[in-house]
Amino acid sequence: MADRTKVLILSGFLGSGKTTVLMQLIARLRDVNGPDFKIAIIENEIGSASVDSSIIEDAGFSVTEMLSGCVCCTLIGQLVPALQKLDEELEPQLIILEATGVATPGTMRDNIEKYGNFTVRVATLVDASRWERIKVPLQMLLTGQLEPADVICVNKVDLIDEAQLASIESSVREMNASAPIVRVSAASPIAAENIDAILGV
Amino acid sequence: MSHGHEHHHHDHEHEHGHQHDHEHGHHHDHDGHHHHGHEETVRVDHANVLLEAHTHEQTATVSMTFEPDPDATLVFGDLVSLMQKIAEAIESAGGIVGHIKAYGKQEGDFVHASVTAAGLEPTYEGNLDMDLGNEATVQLAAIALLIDQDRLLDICKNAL
Repeated sequence: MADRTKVLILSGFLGSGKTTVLMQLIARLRDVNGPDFKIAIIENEIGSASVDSSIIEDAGFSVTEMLSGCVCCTLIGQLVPALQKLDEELEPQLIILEATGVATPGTMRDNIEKYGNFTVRVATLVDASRWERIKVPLQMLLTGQLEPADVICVNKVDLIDEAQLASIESSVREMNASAPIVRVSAASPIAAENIDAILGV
Repeated sequence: MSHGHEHHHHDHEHEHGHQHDHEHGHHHDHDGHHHHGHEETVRVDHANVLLEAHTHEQTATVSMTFEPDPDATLVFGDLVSLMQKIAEAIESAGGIVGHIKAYGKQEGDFVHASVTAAGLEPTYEGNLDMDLGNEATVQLAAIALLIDQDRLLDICKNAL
């Protein structure tokens, strides 16, 4: 049986910094593995315009877009075929799927692993600057994003103090008791060990 | 930006009074999520703005594509002001800003900006003073929660 291609699902609430982190992940992968390291990127947007794809393409990467829906529900039937097509055509070492900000990655992981020849890692971002504002009204969504995470990346830590950060991590722990938590501020370069923790390498 | 008026095959009067093209469509998917799509074109100073709105579960999204007139330009910084106005109006209406983001590209130069809450400084990369002409790609997406699609659409149009 051929090796399974790795799929990294980059999950997290709207505006939590998924695209910014993604850009640093691919830069690090290219630095470590060389320019021939093949990364395929899927951008899923609930809107009809993909601002994030444009940003990634400007950095020199090709992007497969899945627009106007969410691959955890309305577009779920298209997800595995899209992954398989990318896998066959590009033979990437890694596929990064940037989910919509309202996606819950558990269903995606289940479907990808059940119907495709892939191994899946889920990295979920938390927007530290808005956690207090959204944690109660959006608790179900946030739980759905954090519960299946293999690693949790608390982003924008430069915008809060240590006590607020401890409070965020405490409530995050109620939704996921075991995944490693990394603290980052993706507006600046992320430390290599934190990027590696997100990638699981 | 101020509204102009256009009369097309199926004009529709909204509460703020201007007229525009529109189309409606909806479908029910396999697991019961309901999406009611809406598309229309609004005329602003020296540009057409194509707006597409739809709902995904508790999330309303309005995507805008700006088409400056030939020989006209948009200043990207004006879009950032527009994004802040939309964020303030969403929160005033009791909604939560999901993400408001905009992107402009022209002749290899690009600029993008992001707003995640009223009162928070927008983040951006590139030249906010970039003049975007008729050949430019100019897009803006506003995503909000706890607010319905029609209200968000009205907020976006009123902010134009």
